[in-house]
Amino acid sequence: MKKISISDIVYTNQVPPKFPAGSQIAYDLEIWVTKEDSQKLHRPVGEFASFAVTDDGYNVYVITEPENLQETVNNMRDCTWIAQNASFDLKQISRWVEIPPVQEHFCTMLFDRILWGGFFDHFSLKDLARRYLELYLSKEARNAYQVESYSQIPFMDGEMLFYNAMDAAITWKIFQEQLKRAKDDHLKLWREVDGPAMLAFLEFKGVFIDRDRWIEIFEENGKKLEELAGTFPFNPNAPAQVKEYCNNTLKLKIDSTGARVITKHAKKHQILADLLSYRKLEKRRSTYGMNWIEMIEEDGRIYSSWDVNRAESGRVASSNPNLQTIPVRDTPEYRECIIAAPGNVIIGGDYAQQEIRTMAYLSKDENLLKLLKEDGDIYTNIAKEINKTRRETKDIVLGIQYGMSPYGLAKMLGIEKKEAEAIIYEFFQKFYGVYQWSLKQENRKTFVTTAYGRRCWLNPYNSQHKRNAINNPNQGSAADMTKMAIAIFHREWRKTFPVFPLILQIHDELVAEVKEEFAEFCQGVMESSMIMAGEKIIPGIPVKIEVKIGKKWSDVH
Amino acid sequence: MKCPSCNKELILPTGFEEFPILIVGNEPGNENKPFDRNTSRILFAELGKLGIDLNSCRKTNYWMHSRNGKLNCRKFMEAQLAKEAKGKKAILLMGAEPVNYFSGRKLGVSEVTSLRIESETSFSAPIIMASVNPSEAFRKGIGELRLALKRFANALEQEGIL
Repeated sequence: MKKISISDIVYTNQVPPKFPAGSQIAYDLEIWVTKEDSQKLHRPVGEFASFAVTDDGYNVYVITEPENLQETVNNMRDCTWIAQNASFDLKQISRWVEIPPVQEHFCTMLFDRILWGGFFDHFSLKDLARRYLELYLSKEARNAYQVESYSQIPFMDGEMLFYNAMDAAITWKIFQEQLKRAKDDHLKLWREVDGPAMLAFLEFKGVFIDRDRWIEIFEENGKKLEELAGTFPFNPNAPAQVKEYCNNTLKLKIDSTGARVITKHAKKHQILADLLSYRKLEKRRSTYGMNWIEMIEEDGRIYSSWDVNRAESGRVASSNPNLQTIPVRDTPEYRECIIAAPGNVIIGGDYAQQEIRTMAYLSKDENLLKLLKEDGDIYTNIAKEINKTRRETKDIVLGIQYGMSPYGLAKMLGIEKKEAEAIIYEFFQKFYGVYQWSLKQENRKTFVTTAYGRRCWLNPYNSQHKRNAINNPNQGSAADMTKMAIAIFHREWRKTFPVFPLILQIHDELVAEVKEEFAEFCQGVMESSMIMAGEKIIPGIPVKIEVKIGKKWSDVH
Repeated sequence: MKCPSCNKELILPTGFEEFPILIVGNEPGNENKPFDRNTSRILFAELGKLGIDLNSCRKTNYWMHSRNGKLNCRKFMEAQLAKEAKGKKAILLMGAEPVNYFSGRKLGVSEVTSLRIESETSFSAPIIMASVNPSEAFRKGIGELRLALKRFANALEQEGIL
């Protein structure tokens, strides 16, 4: 097994000389961090340990004094900066120094997802070194950077310097390999979508939380749960008791008390419908509990970690905490807790029927294209074509877009499978182009592409592969559109203002927070950015945007 | 074949003993074969694309079949594997347990899949390659499996085995 050895790199513990403009420079930052802080590395935690930089993957400069960092990054001016998980490094570096103008930023992790999303599942430096360089990278030395407390930072020994230098050198080598494999579409996606979006996400403000209201909701839900629990003749948290009640009292003969089984019988037995409501409420209460209050920082905000292309379709993911899954329909009160700070307003913009537009673009279905160009709501227009209500139509269209089977659709609409098959058949008859496109997608074996050329790799052995072949181009095109809108918004906004106002991205929705006097300006920039992105990703398809101003997130959705 | 220590019924290897390639899987399924039908289907197809006939490989398993991996059971499995590995020109380790055993309990399969590893056991072969378990392809991307098999085929070619 090939391992990196001391002779593979030469490191010097000094500030690098000025690199010629246009050089490709790989860098890596190491920080001292406590165990507790290591859980929130997307926040400004930890202390500077060392910074390594190389322009040839062999000679590496490592600095260990934070006061040398500014001079070091200044010497990297006008170069292409390359890092593994660049979001982390850039965020941390900007805590201590000002980042000079850079020719271009590259993140080997995010760029590799553009190259291989869906084909591989993991993209750490260790994975990339193994795949591109056939190299086993031991990460044991990293443990040395974890400290008990910031007052007990150890001496930086040679092994640790080597470790830092090695990461920079390996990153440089991986990037060269990636460039060999990259095609124009990959570079275009990085330069126009994921790259600028990554820089914009770095500047996302946290969401301002109405702490009192959050606690109030938590307590109200606690009371509701208690009340609900009292209505059951069994302990709703004890599966054995639920099972016994179902089998002995309701005579159901069930083996499990899982959601699927209980849902099946909930139509006939109100008590089981109540049990489902109880479980849902309990889940909500544990997901959106007091741990959120603990996450509120001194400025009253919660900061999520944003991952620009986590999903194989290229969708953005939020974590620590996940702000994208705060419910909108059944428990909208949580969104009421995300408010504008005093003197500010919330601006929310969303793409109307984003994915049906991407579907029209990808399938070129004439009927769908015609309906999109007509006035009025697209789902109402489709509903007239297939004789269903708007709500049903929306579920049907979205289901078909996700590659849903008749069984899945039947389950979602609460109808028989045969009826669902008839609905799908009727839809495809009216929109034959969509049918042909779906069929073509299902037969793809290697990869599918989004409207902007993002490859989503398929696995023919995965039972979901047909579904992925239909869903990923749609979902990925929509994701590319929203990310490009963020990139344009960032570029335009920063021409005038130093602080970027976006606080949230939820798939087809952008949310910003600005001072009241800039509300209309922000509204205009957001709207035009979203339209421009739509025109670029799905040219020729009309894009509808709705941008609202309010005091809470729930006001603008 | 039964484990002399715990009496558990084990799976017999398949393929001729004389075959130069040994494929070692994790815990087998319920089909009384080292690799079940679905996993074999993947392996057959993916190795076939690279010019390797699965039917011309010896196949066996290595896994901790007793709770907590009792020492005697482990010793028996290791002796069986040593017997199987004898004279082999190439060994493909497919899954966590064989990789872990060959690396002297130092490495996890996800760290070294698609890499050639050195045997830390009492026996060896000119080529020992780590790979993810083929059943991963049912729920994850196909990339890691394909890469490992591709590198295995390249190694066989370099050594003049293929």
